[in-house]
Order: sequence, then C-alpha cells, then structure tokens
Amino acid sequence: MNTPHNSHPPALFPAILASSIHDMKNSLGMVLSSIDGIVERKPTDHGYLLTLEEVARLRYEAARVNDNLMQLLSLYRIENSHYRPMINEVFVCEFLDEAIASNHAIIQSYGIEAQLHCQEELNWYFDPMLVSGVINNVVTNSLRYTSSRVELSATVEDEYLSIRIEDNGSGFPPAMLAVNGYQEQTSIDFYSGQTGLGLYFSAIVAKLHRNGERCGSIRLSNGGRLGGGCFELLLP
Amino acid sequence: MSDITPEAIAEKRFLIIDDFDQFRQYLRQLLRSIGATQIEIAQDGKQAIELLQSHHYDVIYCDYNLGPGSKDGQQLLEEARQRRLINELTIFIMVTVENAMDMVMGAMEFRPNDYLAKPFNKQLLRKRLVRQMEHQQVLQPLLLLQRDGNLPQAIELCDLLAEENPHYALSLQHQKGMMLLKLDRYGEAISLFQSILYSRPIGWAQMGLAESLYAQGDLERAEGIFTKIIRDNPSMVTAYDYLAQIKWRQEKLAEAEAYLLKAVNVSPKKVQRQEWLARIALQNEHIELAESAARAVISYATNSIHENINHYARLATIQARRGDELGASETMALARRQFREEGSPTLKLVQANLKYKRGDLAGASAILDELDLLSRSREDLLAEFLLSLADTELMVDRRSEGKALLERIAENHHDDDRILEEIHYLFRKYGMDDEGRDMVERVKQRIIELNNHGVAMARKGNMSGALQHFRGALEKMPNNVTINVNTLQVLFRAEERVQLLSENIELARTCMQRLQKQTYPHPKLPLLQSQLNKILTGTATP
Repeated sequence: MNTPHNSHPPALFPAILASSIHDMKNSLGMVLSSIDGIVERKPTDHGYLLTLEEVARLRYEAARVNDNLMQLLSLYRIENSHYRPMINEVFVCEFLDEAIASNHAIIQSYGIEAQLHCQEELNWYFDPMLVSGVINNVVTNSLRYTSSRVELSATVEDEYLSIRIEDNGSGFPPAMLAVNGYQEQTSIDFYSGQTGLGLYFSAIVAKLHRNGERCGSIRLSNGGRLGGGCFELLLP
Repeated sequence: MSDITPEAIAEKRFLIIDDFDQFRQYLRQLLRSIGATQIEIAQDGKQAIELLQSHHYDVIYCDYNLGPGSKDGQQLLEEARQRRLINELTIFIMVTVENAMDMVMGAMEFRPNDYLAKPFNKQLLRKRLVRQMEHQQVLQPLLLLQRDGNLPQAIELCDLLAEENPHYALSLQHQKGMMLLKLDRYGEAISLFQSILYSRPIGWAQMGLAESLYAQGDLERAEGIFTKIIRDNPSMVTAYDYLAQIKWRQEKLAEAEAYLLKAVNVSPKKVQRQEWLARIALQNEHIELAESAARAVISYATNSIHENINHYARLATIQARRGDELGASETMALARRQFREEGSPTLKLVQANLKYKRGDLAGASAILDELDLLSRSREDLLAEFLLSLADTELMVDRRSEGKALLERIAENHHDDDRILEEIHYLFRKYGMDDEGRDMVERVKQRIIELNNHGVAMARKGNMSGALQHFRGALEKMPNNVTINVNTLQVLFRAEERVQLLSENIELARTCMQRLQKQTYPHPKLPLLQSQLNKILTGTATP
C-alpha cells in the first residue's frame, strides 16, 4: 500500500523556501565579501593572488548555492507536479566516482585524500538524478569539514544498497544526529531544527525510493571507519 | 582503466548546440582540453538542423533549452532521429539545468544516450564521454545491425553480448525488448518484460509490457498496467496517451479526452497529442477545449517538422463550428500566407463547410465534387484529410460519395488500426454502424487475399508475375503500406535482370517514397532502404 505522496503539510514549503533563501544569501554574501577582500589587495602582474584555502572556500560556497537551488526545485516539483523517482539501473561504482570527479576543485585545493570502495559490478536501481543531488551535496560538505580524508563506499546489506560517505573530521553536531529519530515524521520540527535543507532533501529522496513495502532512509553517525562523520544512504 | 585516449577523442566530430554563447565557448574549451579537435557549434534548433543535414557528427551536446524562438532539445532530437539525420551510432547528450529525469529522458522512443546536468566540470565531462564511448565500442556490432535495419540479427546478438558483458545485461535486455516490439513479436516481448519485472519494478519494462499487451489487443490488462504506471509516476506521459487510445477504442470518448488533458498538462509540447485532443474534444462537442488545443498545435508545430496546413484547417473548422466565421476566414488567410498555397484542398474543404453552414448547399456540393475527383486522382492526400472529407460528405447527406470514399481509405490502410477506428467512428456517427463494420471486414478480407495471392506467386518463384500483380493492386490502393512493402520484398528476391528493368526500378522508387512519407515509419524501412540502395548502385548480391 503506497502512502499518500503528500506526506508533509503544505505549510512546509514556504518555511523551506524562506530558510534556504536565508542560507543562500549567507553563502553568496561570503563569496561577495571574499571577492571584495581580494580586490583590496595589491594586484601583481598576473592579477590578484589567492590562497588555495580561499579558492576552495569560494568554490564550496558557490556549490552550496547551486545545491540549494537544485534541491528547492526538486522539492517543489515533488510537491506540486508529483514528481516521483524514475527508477533506472545505475552502475554504482561509476556513479560514486562521478561524485568525486564533480568535487575535483575542492579536493585539489584542500589537498584531501578521496577514496572509493565499491565493487565494479555493483548495479542498483534508483533515480540517478535525484540521488546524485543528495550524494554530491553530502560529499561537498564532507570535504569542507573533514581533516584530510573522505571515503565513499557502497555495499549491499540486507537487500538495501548502503552508500556511505565518511570523513576524519570532528563529526556531526548533536542537532544533526537528531535526524535519525525523525524520519517517520516529516514535520516542521524535523525540518527547521538545525538540520538544514540538504538533510531534509536527502531524507525525502530516500523515503521516496520504495520497493514493495520497504523504503529508503538516511542515517548519520559519528566514528565510522575514519573516526569523523558518517553519512549513510539506504536504498531498497 | 580505459583505452579511450585523447587521440581517440580527437577522431570524433563534435557538435555543440546551445543558445548561450558563453556556455558554447566554455564547453568547446573543455572539449579541447580533453583532446577534441573537431568541434562545431550551432546556436539554435534551426542552425543545428542545417548542420546535421550536411555533416555527420559522432557526439552531440545539445541543451534542452534553446531559447524562445527555437525548438527545444527534445524536439530537435526527435526530428533528427525521425529524419535519420543522426543514427544509432551517434552519441546524443542532452545538457540541462533540470534535475528531474522526466524532462530530459522524454518518451521511450526518443531518449538521448545520456544527460549532463549543468553545472559540470572537466572531470565529469570527460568521465561521462569516456563512459559513452566505451559503451559504444562494446555495442558497436549491435548498433551497426540496428542502423542497417537488420533487427532479427540484432536481437540475437543481444543475448550474445549480454553473456560477454554481464555489466550491460539489463540495458541489452532493454534494447532487445524494444526491437521485439518493433517486429511485432509480442509473445517474446511479454516474456522478456515479465522476467525483468519479477525482480524489479523498472519503468521501461512496465511500459514495454503494457505496450505489448495493448498491441496484442488485450486492452484490459494493458489498461491495468498503464494505470499503475501513472499512479506510481504521474509524469510518465506516454502511459496517458495509451490510456486515451484504449478508451477511444472502447468508445468512451469522455474518458479518452480526460486522459489526454492530463497528458497535455504534464507535457504540452507534443504536437500529435494536442492534435488528438483537439479532434476528440470536437467529437465530444467541447468546442472551447478543441479550439485551445487546435491553437496549441499551431503554436508548437511552428518551426518543426510537424508544420502543416492541416492544422490551420482544423482550427478554422472549429471556429466555423463555433459560429466564428470571421475567425475562420482569418485563420485561412493566415494559412494561405504561411504556406503560399492558394488552391489547398484542406482549405477548400473548410470553405465547403462554411458554405454548408450558411445554407449554400449547391456551393458546398460543387467544392465537394472537385475534392472527390482530387481524392481519386491524387495519391498524396493525407488519410486525415480524406477522413474529414468523408465526414463532410456524410454531413451534407452525400451518402454514396462518403461511403465510397471511406471504402477507398480502408483499402489503403487495411492494417492501420487507428484509421480503421476513425472509419468506424464516422459510420457510427451517421447511424450506419453495422454497414461500416461489414464494409471494413470485406475490404480487409479482399486485401488479405490479394496479398496472399501475390506472395504465393513469389513463393513459387514467379517474381515477374507477382510484381505484375502487386503493380496492379497499387494502382487501386497506392498507399497501402503492406502492399508497398511486399512489392519491394518481391523485387529484392527477383533475378538481377528483372530487378534492373527500368519499369521495376521506377516502381521500387515509388514504393520507397510512399513508405518514407508515412507518419510512423515502418520498422523494416531502414533495411528496405539499404537493400534498394544496393540494387541502385549495382552492388546487390543475388
């Protein structure tokens, strides 16, 4: 029996919109003020000098804005035009490799060691566009908050595909870990707690993927293989 | 790793289609940095088609959005595939700002090879391109067979390739399923789709199963699956189209219209869908809906292969029906200017309708006499026009002319269920349901016997006799697809000296032209084309 697609109250989208606009303004504000700061410097013959850290930050903030916009659009379509996941066969190894490739600039600039652990023949079935929206965003954040390493891995456990993104940073704050308990309800509390748009989007996308009675979910934890944060996406 | 080197990339011809100049430059730069040397650019749909007509490209990056005055990427892809400006070996990548699959993956028939969501970086671009090129390499023998229209062999190759490349097993099953459908091998297609659905509710397998059941005539089961598809995935537009067809077949016109309306709300740009909505709305006497759909047809058909004077005629007819004579005249004037066709039969038919509405029966009859004569002498008039003509003949009570015309249409399209349904509809509308069914049955029988007779002669080796027989048949029913196809097939099996007789070459060319004009290209068309080319260039093997 499918649950009704309208699993959250209609008042939620305006709250999501307001909150993410706030978020995006912050990110763009950072970009703008960084650039203003750079302009204050003495230009060399080749232009302004930027540190690796500065480039990575600019890239990160801009990517956040892009991710926010994409997630908003997807949530809007899911809500209003009843967009549902288009299940396709996905080559998981290549899929995760692309998430790393898309974040190349940050990886280079921060000097992160990014690794992928996945069997070549692993195929699974999900909406690649929606899920890449989730994964890319999580990877971007991992790269930002890790110390030096990020690991992506995928295995099949209990007939679920488990995609894990782990880092060796200082882990998730308690407010974010609270997500784990909230997934049954997608209420305003869940959203407007400091979980942020990214996690909300991830939870929705996971839940929309169903196979029979089972549906997907996300799990946050600290520790993992690298001792920092561990984000897990489970897809049936 | 892979053996797709920069040198391999340098050998490929690239085409970038995007209306945003900065992006075109950016993508060109990226492609150069990964090894590409042959890169051309188009800034909108029109330019793209011009380039595609005169050049061959291996890889095409096309933005879904090409600006307000142009067709979009999906429409461009459909046109390019339908007109065979690109083939199975071309890699077509849809570039999009959308993050939703349905917008870019389109109808099953016209999917791009891959999509690329903006923004993307060089690393992602390279990985995707390499992946597509590797995929192509592995599938090349299959793609070549498909390009040459040799579907039966292509189907067998699928199984072999799947064994050698288990990674691609499912996508090869997809290809196989689609080809089985094209060849009307429904039983096998159904087994294939069912075996996939046993493990996973994969979208294309559900659609394939439902389409097969529909094609077999099992409307109830097909309806069940299509309904489930749209419940799980309200943006699967093609499912709505089929549901509308099923309701149409079941003579439930209001429900058919409702499904089409839903479909059009999800995806308004497909011209044929709007056309159909206009026609059904008209039949349901929903004149306002019919008019807005008719207008949508014209607006979306502009700048595309669907542009046609019939669309204006349809709108004018609806306006006349609404009593808006001024509007109807304006539409016709616009059509004449647009198409520069003074004596267009379609517009003349609208005139006849208008005259009849005004009470000028004599004037209407005069035009109808003229059009009736045309329908016997010209073979290039579309079935849709002829059906409208028959409708008008019956409306003004010229029963014998109307019925005779419907019989001629049935002869030319005895195996086209859509058209036969329309014929049934007209007989029903004018209270001659049984008579209509009898006539269609008789015609079908007659044509089947005619075909069998010719085929039997060919089987016995009497190719010249068979050709003569089919030539005669074609004089009576020049547009009958089956007869045209059989004529060509007989010719291909004949001895060389028979093939090379000038009247037979002429006949073959004519048959081919007729087949090429069909709205829904015959699955055997590419194969027939390549066989005919071999004869014409003298490279045929007996």
